[in-house]
Amino acid sequence: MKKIIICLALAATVAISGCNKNDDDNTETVITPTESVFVVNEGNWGGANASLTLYNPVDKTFEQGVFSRANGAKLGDTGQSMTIANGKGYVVVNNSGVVFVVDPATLVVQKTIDNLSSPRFVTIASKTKGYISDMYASKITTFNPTTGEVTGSIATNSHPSTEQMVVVDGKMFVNCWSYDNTILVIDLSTDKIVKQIEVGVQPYSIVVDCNKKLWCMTDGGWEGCPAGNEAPRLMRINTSTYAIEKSFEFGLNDYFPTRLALNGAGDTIYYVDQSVWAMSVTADALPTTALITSDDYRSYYGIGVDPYLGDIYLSDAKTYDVAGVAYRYSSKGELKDSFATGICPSWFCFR
Amino acid sequence: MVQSVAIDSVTVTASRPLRNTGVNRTVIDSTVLHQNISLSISDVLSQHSAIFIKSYGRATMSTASMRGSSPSHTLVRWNGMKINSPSLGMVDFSMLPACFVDNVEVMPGASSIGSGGGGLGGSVELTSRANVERGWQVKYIQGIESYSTFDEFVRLGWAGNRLRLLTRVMFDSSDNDFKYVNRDKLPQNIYDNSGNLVERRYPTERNRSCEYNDAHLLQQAGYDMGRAGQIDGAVWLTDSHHGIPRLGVDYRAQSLARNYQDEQSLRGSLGWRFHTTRLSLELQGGYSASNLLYVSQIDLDGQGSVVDNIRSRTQTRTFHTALEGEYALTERVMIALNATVDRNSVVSQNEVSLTQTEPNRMARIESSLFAALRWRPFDRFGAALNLREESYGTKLSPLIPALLLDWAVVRSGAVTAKCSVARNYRYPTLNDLYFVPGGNRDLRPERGITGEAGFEWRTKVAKTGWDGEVSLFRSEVDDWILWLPTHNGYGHPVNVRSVESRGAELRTGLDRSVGRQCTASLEALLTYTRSESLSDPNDPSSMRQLPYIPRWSGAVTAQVDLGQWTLNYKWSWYSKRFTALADDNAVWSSVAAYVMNDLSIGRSIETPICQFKVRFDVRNLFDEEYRSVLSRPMPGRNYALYIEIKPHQKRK
Repeated sequence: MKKIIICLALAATVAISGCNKNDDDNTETVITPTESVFVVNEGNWGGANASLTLYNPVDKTFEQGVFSRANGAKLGDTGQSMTIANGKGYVVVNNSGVVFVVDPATLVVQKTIDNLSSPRFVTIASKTKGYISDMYASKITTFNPTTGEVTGSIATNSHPSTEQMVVVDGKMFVNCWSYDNTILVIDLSTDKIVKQIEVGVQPYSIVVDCNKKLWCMTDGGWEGCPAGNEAPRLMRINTSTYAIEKSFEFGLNDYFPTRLALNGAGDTIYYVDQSVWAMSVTADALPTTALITSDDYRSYYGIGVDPYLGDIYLSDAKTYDVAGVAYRYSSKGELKDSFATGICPSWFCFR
Repeated sequence: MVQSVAIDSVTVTASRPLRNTGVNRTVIDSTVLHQNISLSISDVLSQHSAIFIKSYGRATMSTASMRGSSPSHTLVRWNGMKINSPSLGMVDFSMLPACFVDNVEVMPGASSIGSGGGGLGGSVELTSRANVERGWQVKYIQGIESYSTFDEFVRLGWAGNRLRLLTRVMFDSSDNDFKYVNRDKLPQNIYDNSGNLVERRYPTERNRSCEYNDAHLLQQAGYDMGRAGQIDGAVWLTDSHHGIPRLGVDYRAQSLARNYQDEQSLRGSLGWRFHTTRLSLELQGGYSASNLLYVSQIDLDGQGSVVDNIRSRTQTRTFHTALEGEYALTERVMIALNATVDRNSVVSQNEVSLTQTEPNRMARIESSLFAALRWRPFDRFGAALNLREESYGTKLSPLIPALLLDWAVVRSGAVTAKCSVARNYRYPTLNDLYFVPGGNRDLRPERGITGEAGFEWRTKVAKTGWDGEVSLFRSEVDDWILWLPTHNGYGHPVNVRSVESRGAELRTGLDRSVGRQCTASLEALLTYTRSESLSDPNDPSSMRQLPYIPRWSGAVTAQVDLGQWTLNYKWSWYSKRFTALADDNAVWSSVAAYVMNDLSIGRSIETPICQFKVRFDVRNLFDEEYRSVLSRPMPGRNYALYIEIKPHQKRK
């Protein structure tokens, strides 16, 4: 009988030994330096493994998973972008349907703007007006950045996919990317669409330069794309007349030129087309010599330019299920540093 | 237990059949498969084999990885017909109820070459047999489980002198709505009456919108033509609706918007088998069709303005033919030949935000030729040389060779040493090559080489039987295909990686009779797998464990039958799994280890007209909080009650 009891006791010990009851509130204090670079790591779609990497450009140190550590919660599924404005950080997590409003100094969440369909980017127009674009919702959500409360929306009707938003002279320009070919112009005094500019198949990225000219990169779609398939283009648009002033064409179905980046002065555009290219905003042709040449072992996925120091940051997502790497180059294309990131690093945000 | 009337293959030596020379095989029979009607094949494989099942939730997609490979590296056949999806390459084992299958054989590594090529991890053979005794047999089982889950199963069989008919019908439905503590989301502040923060607590949420309704019908018929052989046919119809669980990190309102998947499928096979003392022949034709609809909804205003945002339809069709033969040249030499030809076609179409893409039509013919020579030069030693050649479309895979050896360490055959080595290839799926957008027509087949060595034993001392297998394995896969995202928002497959897997598997079983009324059995499994990427030696992620492959896993099943009572205990354990090739402990990059305990007790009651069985299960006995996949909630302690009624057969 004793043997049976001992056996049962041992079996019960083994059976419950792995029982997993986590303690609540696994937060720790994170202090971000005054000059910080945040890398938004997308993670894998559906994998719930997005994360935030913090890089200190002064002492070249980095930390992983800083959002999770500061808040005791996962960042979510498919990290999309991060914007800092008026002392607040806005971290957009696409497939979690949420924007976290954080204190950039500690990354502690102050407010969540949730129940969003597929949020992409945040733009802050003033202390009382913020905008959230969405890939599927056919609307741009408006909110009050001071309170974090949603105040309404701007219907985009037949343009369900809205992406980046830039503000010029009281007007907001919004590129409609997925299966679309349009840039919307919204009057911020009325929050009404006042103009639709046809620019080419799938306008992927926009920036506005020092001359208040809007630059747009289209990806040209793909074979069988409902929006069509054409060569990707980089174009310059007059923000007053809405005329397309310049249009530069890339090769059809070649490497896809990616997101645009602009230096702090707003006079140089950067983009990735396998290698990294820099171009003056007054140039009349695409550059013929790459600023940073890619090799077989690197595939640049994200690009960002430090508006304060002018350094160019590039991310390599490698095989997208591994820790990525970020490279820091000078504005002249000299490698200054590199550091590890989370899964699929795609967006840089500078504090 | 029903009596098997299926014809076995040519058996030349009684104890060690030539056809199994050197083969490493785990057999799961109907006593395990039919234990309760809510078991799926994924449940059975995770408890009784070394396969790792990656489950996305309760009654949700479950895929199988063998020896550190990917789910598409597991070749799966039902009644001899390959059922891997022609578009994705994998099988969702949660959609295969175990009570519709009578035998499962798991063959890792080189042992899978006899079933087909492409099983870089191994193969799983599922067999549904029309096993019916003479006369009528009826069995009805009603299951009532937690979360408003109801299962009904009917088995109706009839057999005459030559003809056998068997019908199995099952209906499952569940709200599948369970509570769980969501540790993925931000903790909530809890204040006292004075407004002071007293606690931060993770929210308790519900697994909403995950209801499911499944209906299965399996009709089988067999006709014994005497010397002319036997004809067997089977048709399996499935109609299912499954809500897809939300991620734990989803901050969208739990409104009417949800994701779901509807599938209607048909699998049918018709075969003729002929059997003499030396010759075994089998001719088979088959057809399978599947219509899959995936819908993702969004709530436009958070107030219930729900629209279908993504509608994705996939139709697959497969025509299958096979001819297999085995011939014993002498008592010690056997040859085997087989050929299969399948025509697969896939039509897929997506509708995103009311914009419809053009239908994506893909089709090709896949064929496979196999030859084997099995030789047992003396009683204690056997060798088998297998060769397989496969084609897909207009392309040929390289020759697939396998060498399998066994040696009876003890003259009685109680202990046998086995080893095998094979080269294997898996050609790209239709989606890999032709999917629009992203398909890559330049993909090369994945190349694998695998080897293993081990022992198996079987002995009986007095009333105690002891058996088991232990094996060490090593394999390497080059040109591993991965779908990588592109800036354009779609994936693109490339041959990107080399992976080395090595490890050990141990299975052992004990059974003992105590008196006339009591039997006890114990089965234990322990698996160690290191499966690492070798892609780039300068990459910090190189030599990291592949995502969702546990280094360690184990399972124990104990059962005591005492008179009319049955007590069954299941224990399983998985070590921590990483979600990416980033070997650290961050919350976003690993899933915690867990232990699972299930207990069931059953009682059989005989009456003059029928047999009743009542069974009560407690699953997740210790209410473990666990995940199989990151942020995919799993249920806590839950219960099930089964009532089985089986009228006694009236014999003429």
